[in-house]
Amino acid sequence: MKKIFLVEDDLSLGQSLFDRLGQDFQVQWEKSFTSAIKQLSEIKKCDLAILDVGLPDGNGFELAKKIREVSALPFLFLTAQADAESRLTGYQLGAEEFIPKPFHLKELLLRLNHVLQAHSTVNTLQVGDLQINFEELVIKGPGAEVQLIPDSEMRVLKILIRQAPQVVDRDLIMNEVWGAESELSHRSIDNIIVKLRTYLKTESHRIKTVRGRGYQWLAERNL
Amino acid sequence: MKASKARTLLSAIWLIFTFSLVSWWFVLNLRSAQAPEQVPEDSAAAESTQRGRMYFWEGSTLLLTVLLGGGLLIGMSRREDQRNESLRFFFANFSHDIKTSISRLRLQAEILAEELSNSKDGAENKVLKRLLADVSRLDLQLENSLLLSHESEFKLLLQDLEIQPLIHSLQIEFHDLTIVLSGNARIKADSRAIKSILRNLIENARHHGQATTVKITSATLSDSKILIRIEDNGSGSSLALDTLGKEITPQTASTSNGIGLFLCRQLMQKMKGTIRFMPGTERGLICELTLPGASV
Repeated sequence: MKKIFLVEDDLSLGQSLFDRLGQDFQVQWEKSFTSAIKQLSEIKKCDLAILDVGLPDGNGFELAKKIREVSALPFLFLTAQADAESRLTGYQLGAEEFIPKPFHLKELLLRLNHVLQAHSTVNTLQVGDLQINFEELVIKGPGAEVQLIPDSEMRVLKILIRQAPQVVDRDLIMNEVWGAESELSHRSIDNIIVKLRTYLKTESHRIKTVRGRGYQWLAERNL
Repeated sequence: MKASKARTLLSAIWLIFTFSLVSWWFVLNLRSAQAPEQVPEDSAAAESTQRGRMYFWEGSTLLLTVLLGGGLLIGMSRREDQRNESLRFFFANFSHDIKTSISRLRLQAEILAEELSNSKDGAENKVLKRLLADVSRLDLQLENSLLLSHESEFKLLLQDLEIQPLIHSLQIEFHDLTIVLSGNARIKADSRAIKSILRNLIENARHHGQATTVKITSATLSDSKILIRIEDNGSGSSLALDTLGKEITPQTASTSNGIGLFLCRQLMQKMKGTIRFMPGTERGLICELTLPGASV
């Protein structure tokens, strides 16, 4: 079951959302900026965050920035602040959707599922002649050739594919795979990328280095 | 720079300029009054003292008037700014609170409607549907009032938008109407503004025209503009169609005050688009919106 990180300070609205969304998803509901910040480590276990902008002790935009620092989790804003500046800020922070209040339940569910679907990585992915199996941690070649990939390296590949066509920052990869306290250097990420390119053989060009920013996965349409 | 800050700054510049000018005039005249002249000493001294006194009192009064006037102007300007700031604060809070309240109400009603959708109690469902329609009207009226209250300050976020998801969202809201869409053109518009326009047009068709079906078609015109045609099967409008949306009129028994259509026209102008009404082919009303197309 997909897990949703919900931040809503209005108790009645939050409870209704928690109950209704709880029928289809596992929901973690935080009622303030402070409590949401305390639960940031839990974010990695979630599939999507729904953030209110006007919180009594903070701001949903600030929260989105904090989330982005530790995870590539997709998020959407559910807010009464729907002016042009707020919407622009929201999209600039990387929001998938900006849903103004008052919203319709059906529309919310529709957009939510749309975002989840767009970000879900399938278990297997065909890349040219290669088949990547994220569950079995293998890359199958054209013949019977099978290459076993260590879990951490497969997770890096998964992040790049999930975030495509966005450029993924090295810090974000480190935080997501090894945690914020990890003492890994950027060089280690570069080494993993070299290894991944070796595994991908003829498709190694799919991982593009973006100087000063990070790495980008080039899907078929972006090549 | 905000207009209110510019106003205060201009008042201050005006005060400094006029005060300096009058001070210069005052000092200059005082000096010339004290300067020795080639006239008999007794009468010259008396005349000089008299002129000096006159310059002193006239100048002092003028300086005081300029100083008080300028100070008053700055004070009033600052008070106006504070008043505007508190009004903005009030509207922001009011809008946030009322929108959250409507969200609560609508969400609970929609959850209830979902739960009752399998029940055979038609009366309960009817009441709920009416409640949901009324919540939608309240939401639209509030949105219209908020947009109208700061229409001149309303800023747009022009984005490339597809018509289909917009209409889909309206199909959810106006579930008792049949909304048929053909074509899925891409426009350059503000999502809030275009949604507000479409909601107003459809709500008018439903509420005032008693329409049951609304057909929406979109097509690309030759000059990379997009035409959105909204046609309903309602009773049409009793008013002159070329005047629709041009002004807000007093509400009568048969017509509303026209805030919705007035807002539609204003928002279309802001988005560099046009709006035009015409009678339906058989009955009802046709509204044609022309908007810039999305970037290629």
